[in-house]
Amino acid sequence: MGMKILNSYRLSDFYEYVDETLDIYSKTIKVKMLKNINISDYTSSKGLKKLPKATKNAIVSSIACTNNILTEEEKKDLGIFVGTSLSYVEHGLQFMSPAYESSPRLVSPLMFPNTVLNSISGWISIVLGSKSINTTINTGQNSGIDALKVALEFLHSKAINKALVVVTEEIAKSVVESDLLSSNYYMEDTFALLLTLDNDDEQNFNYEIEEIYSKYVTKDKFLQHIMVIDEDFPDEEKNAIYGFWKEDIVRNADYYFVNDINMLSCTSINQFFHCIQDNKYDNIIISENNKSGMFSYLKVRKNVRKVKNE
Amino acid sequence: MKRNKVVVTGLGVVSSIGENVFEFWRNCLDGKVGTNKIEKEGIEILNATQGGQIKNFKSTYPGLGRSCQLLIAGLDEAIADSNLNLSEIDRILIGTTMGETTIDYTLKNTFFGIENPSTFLRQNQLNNLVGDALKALKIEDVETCLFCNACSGGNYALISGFESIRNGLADVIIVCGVDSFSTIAYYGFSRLNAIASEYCRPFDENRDGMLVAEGVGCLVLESEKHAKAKNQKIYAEIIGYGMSSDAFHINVPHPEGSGIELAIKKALDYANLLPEQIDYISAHGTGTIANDKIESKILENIFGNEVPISSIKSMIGHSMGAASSIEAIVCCLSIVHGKVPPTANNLKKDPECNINCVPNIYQDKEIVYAMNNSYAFAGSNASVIFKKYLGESYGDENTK
Repeated sequence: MGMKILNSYRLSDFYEYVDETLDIYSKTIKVKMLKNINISDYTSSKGLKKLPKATKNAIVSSIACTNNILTEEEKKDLGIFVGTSLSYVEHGLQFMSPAYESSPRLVSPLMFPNTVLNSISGWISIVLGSKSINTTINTGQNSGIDALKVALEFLHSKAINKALVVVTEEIAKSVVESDLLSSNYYMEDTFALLLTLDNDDEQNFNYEIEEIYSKYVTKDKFLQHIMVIDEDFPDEEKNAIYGFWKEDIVRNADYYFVNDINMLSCTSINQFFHCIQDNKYDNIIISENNKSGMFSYLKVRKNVRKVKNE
Repeated sequence: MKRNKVVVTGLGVVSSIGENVFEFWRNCLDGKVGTNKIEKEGIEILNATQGGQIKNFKSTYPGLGRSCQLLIAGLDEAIADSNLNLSEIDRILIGTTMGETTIDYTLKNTFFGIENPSTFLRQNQLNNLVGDALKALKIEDVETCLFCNACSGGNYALISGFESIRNGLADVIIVCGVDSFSTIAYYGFSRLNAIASEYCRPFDENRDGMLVAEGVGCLVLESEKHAKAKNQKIYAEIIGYGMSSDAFHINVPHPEGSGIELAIKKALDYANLLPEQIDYISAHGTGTIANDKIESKILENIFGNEVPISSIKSMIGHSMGAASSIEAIVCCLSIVHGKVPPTANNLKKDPECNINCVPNIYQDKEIVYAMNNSYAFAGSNASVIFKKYLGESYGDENTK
């Protein structure tokens, strides 16, 4: 049974970018930074203004994705799953800067929690009032897809009946440095997806995530897997594959695309959003890899029952 | 729906009181204290001087990050202990608090504009903590995940592994918790005035804090069917869990302990047990005044004050993401050997901690059901219940 997408929210659909450049190791990196958001426009919760950008963006996206959809009571049982990769490096730098400037006796105890890897999912649960499962997944570039996979499995186990998956990245000099300057062009964003397995209302969603694959495996094995999926695409349907590979292996997909802007773990989720917003494909494969030998994909299917009734 | 029974068939541990399960357990029963004076390149020692570093640990993989090195050692022992072929492993799931602590070195260079070695920078990519360990151990074709759930990270990985086997998604999963000694954590907890002046004394009237530590714990989980087919030795079964969030404060526990109470009650409900059936509780027991007071209150309310309780953090300090995995190992060994490990450094009972804290030396006791509790930053709580493996076949009575 697939996960139905009850609601989705992409921060960059509502907030503008600012173009900036970062000079690192004699290299100039272009970055599209999201404008800073005034979090008090979204919540009256205290102590949020000085949170790191990735955390604030995740909170705002979570509120926007769940408000008017879930009751306060439903939010208590909501599972929170965050995918993120290198933002923690910047949060560590912000915390440690007073230690380098003068003394570790002057580091801020208020900023220390930001350095703990689960602080983003923790803050979301505090602001939304979720008392259920709460985790942050960090598997590099694959973090977004892996967070979806963990959510899917907890939904299947019936530990929760709704999941909020949030994928967020903050781009800063320290982040690009730890990404080994792997791209000349980075972009920030944050995504939120409200998901369920419940099938009460067949009209209430456009797409469902049918399958999620994530493995430490050789690239050849992974591409063989993709080729099989590609071959199985029905001819009469419109199919899209987002991939990272250059090999000519995709034959049946109507649309195969790659992206040259690095959004870290948001990269693949961004492509996923493009596809579901376009709303013109019946089958979508979104794949990703994290350079540690971990490969993943999402297999997404249009809600055929809804289409039939339209 | 038929659910698989989940059993523990292999263990691996590296801690400041033992770099393998045998040594760890022997010292654990004796109440040996492994915490000592902190020594680390680039660290400035503040008022608190003690920590739980594993000073004799030497990895045969010198180019990797320390968390990765610890993870390799723990995995290696657990795999050997369970006599697994590498191709049998379906998943390796890992919990952590800080991940790889290489940023303790790179951030200073970043701050001063000094170029960092790329070998260090790639260790900041936490996927390499997992990927490098798998590559070193020649493990391929497995699903992996890094659960960042701070001090309950190990339990989160274990629960995910438990559900995956129970629901038939996998037969063999290794679940781990790992963290290396973090300078950031040391400075952070110091500024929160949460670090003990000398010893970690959970539930003692004179306790004054926790001690930042490091370590790894790994448990091999198998479906009973898979384990029996191989005639595996079985340490224990896993029969239930509860997870909750305080939804209260990022680093202060809920004053009424409502989140930890919820996690415990969910676990009992899942396992279909009454509180009085629990024979041993491995407490979170950090040694901070606030945690131990709230945890004791909840444990007393639910279990009364007879069930033996201990915190091994008194011996090894708080090994962060490794803590709940190592404590899960303690639950398994307690069940197998019929011994309750002690809480070391426990000299004076705190009247505000009205629980049966086992002080300083182990106690003999037959343990059928053991509970492992872990609580974390951001109010992330997880309780797991282990059962003595009796070999009998059961089905629906232990399903939710």
